[in-house]
Amino acid sequence: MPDLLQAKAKKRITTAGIYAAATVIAVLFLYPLYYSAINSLRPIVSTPAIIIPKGFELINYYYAVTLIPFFRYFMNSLIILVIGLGISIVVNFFFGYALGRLEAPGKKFVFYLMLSQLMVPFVAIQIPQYILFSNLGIKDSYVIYAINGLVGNAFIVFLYRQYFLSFSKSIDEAALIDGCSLFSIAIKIILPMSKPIISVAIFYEFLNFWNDYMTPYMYLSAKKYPLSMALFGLSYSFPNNPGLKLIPVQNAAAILLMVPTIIVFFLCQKQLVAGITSGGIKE
Amino acid sequence: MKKFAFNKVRISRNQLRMQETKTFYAIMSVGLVMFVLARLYPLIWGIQKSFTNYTGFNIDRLKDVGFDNYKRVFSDSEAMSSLFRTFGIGLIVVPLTLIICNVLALLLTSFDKGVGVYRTIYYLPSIVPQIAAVTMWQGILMKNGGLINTVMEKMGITPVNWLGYDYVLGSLCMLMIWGAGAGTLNNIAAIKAIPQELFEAAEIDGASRLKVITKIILPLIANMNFLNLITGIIATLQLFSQPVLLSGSGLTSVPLRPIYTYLVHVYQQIFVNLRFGYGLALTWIVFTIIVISTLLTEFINNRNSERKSR
Repeated sequence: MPDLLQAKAKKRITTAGIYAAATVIAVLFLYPLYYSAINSLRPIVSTPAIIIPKGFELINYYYAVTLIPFFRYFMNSLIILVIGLGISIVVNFFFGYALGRLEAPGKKFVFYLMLSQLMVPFVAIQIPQYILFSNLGIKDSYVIYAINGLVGNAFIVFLYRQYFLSFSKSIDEAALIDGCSLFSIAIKIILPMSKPIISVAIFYEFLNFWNDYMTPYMYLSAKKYPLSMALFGLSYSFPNNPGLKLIPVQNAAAILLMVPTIIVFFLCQKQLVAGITSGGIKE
Repeated sequence: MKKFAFNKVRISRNQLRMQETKTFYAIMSVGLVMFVLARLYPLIWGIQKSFTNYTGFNIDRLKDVGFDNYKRVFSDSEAMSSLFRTFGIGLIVVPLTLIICNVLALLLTSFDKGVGVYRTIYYLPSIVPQIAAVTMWQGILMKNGGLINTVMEKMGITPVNWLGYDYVLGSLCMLMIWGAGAGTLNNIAAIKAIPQELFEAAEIDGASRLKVITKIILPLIANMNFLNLITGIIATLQLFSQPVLLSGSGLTSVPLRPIYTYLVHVYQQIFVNLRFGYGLALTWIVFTIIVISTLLTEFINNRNSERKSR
């Protein structure tokens, strides 16, 4: 009996150790976020807070959105999301549907073309594409987001495809006999069954567009910059003293840029974690 | 009645095939056309222009220079040293990232209560927009008033410039490793895919957690780790944004030597020096390296899994 007790005690100590390690690492991972958060709230003329907040100055957030045309950039980001994300959501779903559920001669070829996009390093496309397109006059316009959206994002198309492969084919056969077209099957039957994978796809698509600064950098003029690009390299400084940086305001801007990502993440989190840990997703 | 229904199904099977083909191409034609216009054509166009003296303004009087641009890459000491440097950064960052992913995954599969919270916390940094992440880290690494230096001063250590020549590489690695959590999820998936019986057998034998980890889990996910190591190092060859973001105020700002990566060099040639032809040649060289090593990895991986199944 004492053996068993000892084993139990030993197990308890191990568990405590594991929790302690996990917590220490969690603190390390979270700390940079916490540090920015408390320092976005400290008075502008003060030394950085390290652990204990040095105030609750929401005015820094006010400066972050008023010292630069923040809302114009935010609107630009929204326009890009409407165009890019809107097209991506539709296109990737249907591409995944076609490659996962439909049989056609030449399908394998189309499939490998899509696959090739995952193999080819993106820079090798991005740079010549930019040079060519700017020669063709595609410049300073959001059209580029529509173009790149319509090609389809190979990674997300495969996500959909893998998911759709798991549905039984008899579902659509039954619907076909009832006189449904394949399009309406995709929309009326497959779509409602795919909510989990759609939220995962939307999450990745959102990240692609929200965090992207290469496309705006190359294709857009400063007036059309989205938030990510506008905040990049932008240093908030005193209006009449550019040498003096407003670090708390910069932190506030960084936090503001993060907020939408965090919101989308928590909305999709359940499906995201379930999907990845069940082995369905690999980036 | 029954026979009639059977006939109907058979007819619709044939119709189905027609309809599927039609629908398939109706959908994919969009993708195929756009693929040709926005991917394939630029690719071929770019390859062709890499054999010319294209500088951005001379598109109507291009001269064919043969392989000159490519030859120049190998005599361009900046290009060569940045290529090896980038490779070196991969050799540092990728193994570290993998070790962290494995440790985190092992931790997260060792307990159940509250595991979701920890998983979320580890994952969170990887989705922070790069720009926001770098802004935050700059606040930590800054020479004057940055967190690390403030703490060091308090402890009586002479502060250093974390964004200066000597330490910037370390700072870059730190920044990249902070976002390592994304890969953890894949490792968790791999660990969860291990047959449960193995763990049960180990428990009956009274194996300690450490034994379970070293004798069961790690050997079984070793293949995946190895694959991730290779693909990770290949992917690092495309490292561009973090070094540039860390160094300053625009996408054309020049990072300090220790973090001046190959792709930064490419962007400098194209966007600053307007050497389009040469920049494209630089791009194709890294393109070739990446594609060949990816194919090689795939090949080795396929052969290994075939051998295993045999």
